[in-house]
Amino acid sequence: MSKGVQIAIAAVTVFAAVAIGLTQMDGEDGTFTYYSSVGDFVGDGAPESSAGVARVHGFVVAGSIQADLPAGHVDFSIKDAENPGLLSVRFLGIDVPDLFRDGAEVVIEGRFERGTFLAERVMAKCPSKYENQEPGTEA
Amino acid sequence: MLVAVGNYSLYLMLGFCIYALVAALIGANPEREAWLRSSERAVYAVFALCCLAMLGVEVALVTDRFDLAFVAKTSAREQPLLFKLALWGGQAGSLLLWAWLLSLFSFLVVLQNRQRNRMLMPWVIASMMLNLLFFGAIVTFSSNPFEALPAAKAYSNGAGMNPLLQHAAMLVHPPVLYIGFIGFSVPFSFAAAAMITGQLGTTWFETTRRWTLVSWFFLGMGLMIGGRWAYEVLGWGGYWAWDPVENASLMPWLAATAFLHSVIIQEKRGMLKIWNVALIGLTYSLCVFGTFLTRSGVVQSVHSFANAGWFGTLFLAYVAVLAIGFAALLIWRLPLLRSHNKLNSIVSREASFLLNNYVFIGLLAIVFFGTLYPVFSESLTGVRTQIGPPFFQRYSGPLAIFMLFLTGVGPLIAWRRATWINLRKSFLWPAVITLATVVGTLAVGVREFYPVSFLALCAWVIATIVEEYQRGIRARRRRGENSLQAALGLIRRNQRRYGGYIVHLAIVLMFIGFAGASFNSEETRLLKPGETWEVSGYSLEYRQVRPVRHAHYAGAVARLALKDQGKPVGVLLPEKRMYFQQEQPTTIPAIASNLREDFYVILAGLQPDQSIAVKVYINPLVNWIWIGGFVLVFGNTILLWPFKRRGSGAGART
Repeated sequence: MSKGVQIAIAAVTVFAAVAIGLTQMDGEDGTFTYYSSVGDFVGDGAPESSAGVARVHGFVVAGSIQADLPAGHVDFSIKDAENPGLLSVRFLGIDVPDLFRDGAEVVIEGRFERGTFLAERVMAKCPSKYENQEPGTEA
Repeated sequence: MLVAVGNYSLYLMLGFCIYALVAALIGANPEREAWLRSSERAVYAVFALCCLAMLGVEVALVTDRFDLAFVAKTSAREQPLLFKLALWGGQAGSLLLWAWLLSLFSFLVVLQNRQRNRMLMPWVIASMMLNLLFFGAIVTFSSNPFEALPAAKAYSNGAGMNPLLQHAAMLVHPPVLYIGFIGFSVPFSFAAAAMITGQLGTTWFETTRRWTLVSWFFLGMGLMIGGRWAYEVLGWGGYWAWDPVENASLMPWLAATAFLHSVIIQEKRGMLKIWNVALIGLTYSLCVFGTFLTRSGVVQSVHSFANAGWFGTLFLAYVAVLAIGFAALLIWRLPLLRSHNKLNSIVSREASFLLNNYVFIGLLAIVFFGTLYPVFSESLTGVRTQIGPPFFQRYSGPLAIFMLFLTGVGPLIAWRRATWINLRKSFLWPAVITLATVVGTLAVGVREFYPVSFLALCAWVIATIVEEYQRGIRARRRRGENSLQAALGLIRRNQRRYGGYIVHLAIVLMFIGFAGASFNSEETRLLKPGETWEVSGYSLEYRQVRPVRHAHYAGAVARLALKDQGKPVGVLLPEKRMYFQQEQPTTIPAIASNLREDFYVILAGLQPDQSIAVKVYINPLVNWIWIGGFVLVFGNTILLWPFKRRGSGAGART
């Protein structure tokens, strides 16, 4: 078998896989997702409701977490590290990640309706990395 | 004292490392053999000094030396001894472990090759020492475990290891993974030496076959133990999240798996020489690159320890030197590496091996692209983009299916060119069984494309393996052996082939487990004490919740009685803890497990009136992944078992 045929087989194999993958893409499902910051999201001219699924990145405002277990949701607000502006969030679930707490860096995913972000998912970043702060130092 | 001993052993180690490197290069001249001997002794010294430094860190950890930054960060007075000893809970310690393993492996390689491979050894030593020099320098000058805290900050107790890491799997996972990563430095160094000396036959990989197999095995086990840890500890019901650092260890594993297959073609047919050298270069480069990803914080990940700028740059430069240097050697030696044999037919075993290689490299490319895409996109466009698990599943799914198919095809077709009659004979039964599985899964109501094809192809591979064993056993029984003798004889005679089938079987069992993830389901509910929840054929009765109080954490544990179709299974005790020092809550799931599915429950929240929020995951078939792991251990034991060569078949002792 010649070199050309070998290379052709290689190319066909890989591209067939990619093509099959592409046919199933629809963009809105987390394959590629763009983050926006709280500032971008609530900034001037932001609509009252958003179309489709959005992802916003921010920090949990200290003291804003209100869990309502019987109703099955958790309310909180997030903000950017520097810019002013708050986004109030209702997480439609109660199983927040372990690292979710005051000041935690989070990414929320969901839709924006009538001024509230209804989050289907809340992901907490790991600010502590797996290494702890030296005792006596501030984070 | 301890600090001085530790630091001086690190400095001395670097000194001997440089000496061993220089002496090896001088000793490469056959007339200066004495220098090579001297270099080998320097390697022993390097190992001894590394041991001393390791010992120093362990002593510091056990004696609670909280005046040292590393100890203060990763240990605490009340931390159990085993977790104190696990020095890989922090950056400095894990890099020292890396350096120590590299020195250990250098030492073993020198011991093994005192009389053999005299041409290659100077370059092997030089390459190993060059690698060690980098990690040694990092440990000495950048992430030094003996670095003291300023006196004002010295503390009476440490921060303690991250509670998430305080788990049995975490004691094993990092060292196991590291053995895999670093083990590949040996075949890598031999390949480099082979290129430098122009001895490009099969010696370099035959000498390092065991190193390659052992490293591959440890890397795979490391991945799996990591998955098991995530499953038991992180409380999200899964074992694999396509996290950048999970991917970082998957990538070298894929390259190494491709290598293990393609060296066979070089051995049997003298083909793919360039490819093999390139693959082993790629494998070790990816090992180091993976460590860089993990440690530098370039990619946002739960595994990142620290985020030091120049440390990352230095590390990346090292990976580049390694990969580019190796590639340069390869290009220089291209004329010597061209093979004379060609593929005779697309329907041959070597063609199936070649396809299998393309699939592995395709998977590798997908994982690589997906892992680094956020880095590229942020640096090019400034927009942070994330690639989620759907991306990886979409693209790797079809390739994985094709790979399973090849796993079944490969063993059944002949080298060079298969004949139609042969094909029909070998493929008849496996094909029938595959078809039956498709019909069967459709009949039980499974309609999704991926699970049906995965399960069918798993059946296909198992059928071909059984057929292969059966054929071999039948042939031996004709010589008067009983079935067991025949099976053992097969393995003994052709350990790599039949051991390899067991490894394939292990991988297939894991795939059955992966296929199960398509049927995962989850539900959340608030339960009052005494309330019973009927969920997916189970009934879960909430009895009570109890407070838990320990020295370093407090929390609550719920008692839940579980019945499966009315039959009592036992009491599940999911737990929620708050670690004081780290102010970190942890959710400890409770799992009731059988071969069909796992009932996985977490305590998601607690109300003042004692009602609890409970989240249940039903994860079908997940146990088959771990069972596959045990079969993998078995298969690898067969592959590595030191059978006596050319012994008489009769009276085999096992």
